[in-house]
Amino acid sequence: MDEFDEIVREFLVESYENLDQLDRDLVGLEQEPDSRDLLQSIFRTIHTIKGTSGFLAFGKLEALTHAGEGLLAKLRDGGLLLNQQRTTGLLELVDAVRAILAAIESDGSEGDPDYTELVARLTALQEAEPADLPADESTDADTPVDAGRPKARPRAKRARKPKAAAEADATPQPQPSATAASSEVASGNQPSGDPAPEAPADEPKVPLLGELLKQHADIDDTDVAVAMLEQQLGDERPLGEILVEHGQATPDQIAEALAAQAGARAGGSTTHPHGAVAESSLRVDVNLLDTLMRLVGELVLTRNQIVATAAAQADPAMLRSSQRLNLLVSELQEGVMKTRMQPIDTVWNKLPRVIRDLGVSCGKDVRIELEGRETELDKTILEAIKDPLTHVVRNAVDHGIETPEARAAAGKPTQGLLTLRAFHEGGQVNIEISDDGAGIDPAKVAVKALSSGLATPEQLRGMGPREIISLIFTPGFSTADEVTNVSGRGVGMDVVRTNIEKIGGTVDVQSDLGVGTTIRIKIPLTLAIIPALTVECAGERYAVPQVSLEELLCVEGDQARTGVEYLSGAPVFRLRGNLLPLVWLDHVLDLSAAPHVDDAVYILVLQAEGRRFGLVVDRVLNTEEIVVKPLSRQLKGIGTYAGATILGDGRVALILDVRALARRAHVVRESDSNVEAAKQAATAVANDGPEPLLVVAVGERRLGVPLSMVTRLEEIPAAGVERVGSREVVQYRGQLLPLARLSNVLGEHSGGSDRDDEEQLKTIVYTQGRRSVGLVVDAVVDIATEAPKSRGEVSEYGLSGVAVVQERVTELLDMEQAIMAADPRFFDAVAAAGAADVSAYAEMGS
Amino acid sequence: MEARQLATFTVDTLLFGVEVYTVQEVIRYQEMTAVPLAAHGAAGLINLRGEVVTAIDLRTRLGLPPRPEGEMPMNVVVRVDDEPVSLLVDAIGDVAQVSADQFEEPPETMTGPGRALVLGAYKLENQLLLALDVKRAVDIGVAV
Repeated sequence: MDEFDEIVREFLVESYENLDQLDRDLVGLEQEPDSRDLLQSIFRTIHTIKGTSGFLAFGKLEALTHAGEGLLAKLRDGGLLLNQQRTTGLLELVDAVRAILAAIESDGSEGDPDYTELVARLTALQEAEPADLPADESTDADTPVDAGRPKARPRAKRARKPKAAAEADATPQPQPSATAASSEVASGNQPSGDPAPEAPADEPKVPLLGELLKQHADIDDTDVAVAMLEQQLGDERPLGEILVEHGQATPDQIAEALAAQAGARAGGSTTHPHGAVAESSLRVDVNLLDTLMRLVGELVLTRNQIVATAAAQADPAMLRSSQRLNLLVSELQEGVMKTRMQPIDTVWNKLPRVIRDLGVSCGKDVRIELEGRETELDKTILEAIKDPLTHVVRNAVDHGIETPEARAAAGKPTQGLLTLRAFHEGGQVNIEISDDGAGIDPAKVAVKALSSGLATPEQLRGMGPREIISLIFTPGFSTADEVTNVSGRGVGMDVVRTNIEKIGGTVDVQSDLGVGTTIRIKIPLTLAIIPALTVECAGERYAVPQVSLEELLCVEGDQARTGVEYLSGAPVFRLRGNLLPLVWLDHVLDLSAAPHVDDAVYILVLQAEGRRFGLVVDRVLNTEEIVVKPLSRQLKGIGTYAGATILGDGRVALILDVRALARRAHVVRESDSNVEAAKQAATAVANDGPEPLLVVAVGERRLGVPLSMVTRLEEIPAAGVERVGSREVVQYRGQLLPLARLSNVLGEHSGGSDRDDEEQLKTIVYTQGRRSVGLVVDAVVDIATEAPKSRGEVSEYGLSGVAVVQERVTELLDMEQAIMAADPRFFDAVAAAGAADVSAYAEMGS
Repeated sequence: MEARQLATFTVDTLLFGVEVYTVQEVIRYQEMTAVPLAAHGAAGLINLRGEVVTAIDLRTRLGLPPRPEGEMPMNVVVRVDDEPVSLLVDAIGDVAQVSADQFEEPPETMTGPGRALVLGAYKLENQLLLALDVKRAVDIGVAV
């Protein structure tokens, strides 16, 4: 049974490969309906599947492919013309075949769906329509008797075949695995005796059995010659049998050589008609490659250690060897990395079909052009970009390219053009997706951003058109006027950006109104080994991935003291006229600041999620290639680290997650828009995700506030606080804002007094209708989007519960009570419906 | 009576044991890299022949006083859910053969955070051998 499973598995692998080709061919065929090559290629694929499924007794699959093959044969022979119904029928055939293959893969059966209707339709499509006739004549006239026609081929081929090869066919039981791999042999075994076995256009060179025996089994040259002579003298037995009889070879050796021969032939027959898969390639288990990759990673580390040690010693011989080792390991690393590389075409080849289906469903005519489809990428990265790429392409067809009428009105060709380009540049892979559609209107984007609260008018005024267009990557943004089943749900480009940045890539957009849009994606070649900058902070070293690093600044002397300014409490640095928000790594990591040895300030200018910020570190060490190691389960929750690595001296260093740092940097730096953005993101995931919490600190306590109850975060000057009776108020946006200090509300007196002399009060503002209240906290810590764990109840005033958030015990604030503390009449004044909402939330929280 | 083999080690004055098969190896003190912001108990990361392994200080986890200055802990590397984790302990003991009839629930005398990390105690001739709940001990996300 094992052997049979093996055959089925090989059949599946090969069929999947063929189906991908098929999708592409069919879509190509629609563009070029009388291409014999494409028809031939499609016919061959279906025929192969049919043959093998018959052999393996998959009845449904055989019936289905038989019907398809009939239709294809007629199309190929020019008896029928390819129209949209026929293309659709054929595409449905491909889908059905895929479904059956998937069913076979999962449980070995062909699955439940009944395809008799499709079979009937495919058969019906074989009936000639009046429209077919004239075309029939013309195509026949074009190619009278096509020499490339398969019917004529097999015989010619067999005649050309060397005797030894013919014998392999005659051998009653060829190696099972080889049988499955070689469609040719499989179809030869097929009982129905179909008249049209396929023949590859350029037949591979199949080695002679005698040659193979000499090479692999160590059979003497003369023995083979003698056996062959006997054959020529009339011995009709196969060469192998003669040799065995003479005792010059064992049956095993013959079987092995036959298998090798069949394999060589199969390698040839699976060659893609368009492709250039050489016979010299072989399939390797991905797990094995992963293991090799891991080992090379180790080797790189060891190399780094040895090179570092050798450099420290003054031994010239050692130094020379280490340099040699250095070179060799680099070469090996490159070589092994190449084994994991696959052409981007493995992802792209799905797209023509996607475009076609999408075009039909939105009534658009779109042509796709692929450039640089041989560009290679690491397998893991290819998998990671598959979805974002599909999303961008769908977007381009759905929103970018106009309807044929609109295009005609704009003076463009009615057929839209989508161009995908891939190329290597600067150690990265660039992918460009361009459409010649309507382009993105910055004015529309600005209006949309304004209305959905993603940007303020002041912010928009300071932006160029390009920056405004980049707002489409903000969570919660969607310009589609209506929601279609394809896109326009508001979760789109932000997810694309998140996914691309997750693998260390960047994405940006360029658009000319009326001319088209180009999305540019840059991604690293591989994930496992990345260039990084090592820095020091509070005595520990950290690695920062180079891809996020824009530049390095060293501010010395007077400038170090005066260069850093404060903008409403947030430190900034003037970088060529622009304000760069600063983050101190030791603050972010909560490290006790070690006394600075030198008075220079080192700033790494980093970019993530479309935002730039400066990371201040103690020292910058050097750049090196590091191997990314995952963090253990215990530490994954922290979120500040992308992993760990082992440095040249064997010590472990943490790799900083720049995106997480950026988020921390900007959460602390109050801005209306990021709260809004986080909220938008929250609504986007509202149906399947937990409600995000704003985590704040009050004294020593961590408090969670539901983000939906946070309208803004503000810093209010303490000097502006005035007293009305026993309550504190502040003038805010032309109104009086009642304040409540959460430390008082929660009876947290310790540390409350020394907070009083702080200049800025960090305040959560909650607005409902026209009324607002402010809740003063000591610090804003983070926004937690994960579900709170082990929720528990507490009976303390002002709290609705307690839970573990981000691995820390966090008290959940009862917003209703906190708001009442600031303004007891808040809820009387706002609309009753609004009040009901809040109390509903309070109930939910408790 | 089914006999079990426990690898033993001491933390402060207590003798602990874990199932022998969970122990991958025991190594001397390794230089550690601290992990800022990590939960209490994660002492740092060590380089175990190219693999980055999290070290968990059992003294911190058990609520015991910190190791005296100058005393170096040992690493007991255990596999939990197929991931190696290092337990920092004071000293390594022998492998002890114990049987179920020696077993008892956690002793009353044992209080504090450590109690949640102990499955029970085996009454040896002259000492109690505490069976460590390895899974809980390395799950530093959970407060004890």
